[in-house]
Amino acid sequence: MEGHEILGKVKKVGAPPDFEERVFYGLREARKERARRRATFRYALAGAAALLLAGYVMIDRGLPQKGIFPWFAGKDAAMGTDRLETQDPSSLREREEAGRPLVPVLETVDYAGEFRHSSHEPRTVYILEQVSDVRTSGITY
Amino acid sequence: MDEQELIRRVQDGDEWAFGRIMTLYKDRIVNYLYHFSGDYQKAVELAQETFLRVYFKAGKYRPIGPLSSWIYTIASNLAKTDARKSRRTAAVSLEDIPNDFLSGTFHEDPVDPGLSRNLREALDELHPRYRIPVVLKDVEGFSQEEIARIIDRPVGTVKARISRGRDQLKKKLEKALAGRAAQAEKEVSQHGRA
Repeated sequence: MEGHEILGKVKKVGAPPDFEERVFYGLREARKERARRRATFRYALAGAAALLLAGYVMIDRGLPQKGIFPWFAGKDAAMGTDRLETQDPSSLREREEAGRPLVPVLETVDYAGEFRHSSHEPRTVYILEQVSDVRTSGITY
Repeated sequence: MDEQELIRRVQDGDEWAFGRIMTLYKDRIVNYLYHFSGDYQKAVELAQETFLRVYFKAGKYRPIGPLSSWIYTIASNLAKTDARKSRRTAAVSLEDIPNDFLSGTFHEDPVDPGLSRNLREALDELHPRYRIPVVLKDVEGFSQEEIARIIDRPVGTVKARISRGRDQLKKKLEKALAGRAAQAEKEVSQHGRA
């Protein structure tokens, strides 16, 4: 007799009598576990969102200027985006007095005058160039 | 009420319908998993897990095939995962595996108990890739098309696996029977000398 023919004749086993109760018990437990996990996930999600928001607010509002993140401020200076445009003239003056080399370039544009006095003659264009290789970060345009 | 209506109700969270489906399939699933794993307790645990998944994943069932195929697919996947885990965690001798044919959880077998034991051992040695289609075909009586749907493989692959699985089973059984015959001869000769 072939193996698979014997397999067909082997007596079959059945589920134990309390099988259904055990499954329903497992079902209740699984439901509780799922509800617990869902609540945990919701709290974790809310916490992560709050942390992100707090981090964004801390980085965006003033902490770099106060020197708490010096590397952050340094990066800003190196990139030439030291937020001069957001500072008031008095703070610029303070920095100048403190001895830091500063070349403020403040130019107002009078569009009405520009158009009124426009001519076909070629205009003089001033190109501001860095003339010293010694100090790069100190020169602010 | 037909099976499709029952599973539709389970999708709505109806526990009564779920109980009906369980009553219809529990014995078949336990039997299938028993023949797959060779361990009755494990088969019952896997069957319980199968029905829990049936309940929680009911929303994913699509009535393109019979409900039985879907339930057997879940059971097969669980059994395969469990077999993989068992292979990773422990390597035990076949002699150490509790044999339910002899331990009493299994009723008296119509075939020779020794042969049944050999068959059990031969099945255990068979790779799940062949064991699943062979058990589904020869124990559960599914057609090749149904098995193809359950294990999500083409019918040609299923035919090849059943054929190869049966061949391997036959070879292992022949080897075991040859061993038994030699053992019996040895015992007879010892008795004769005594």
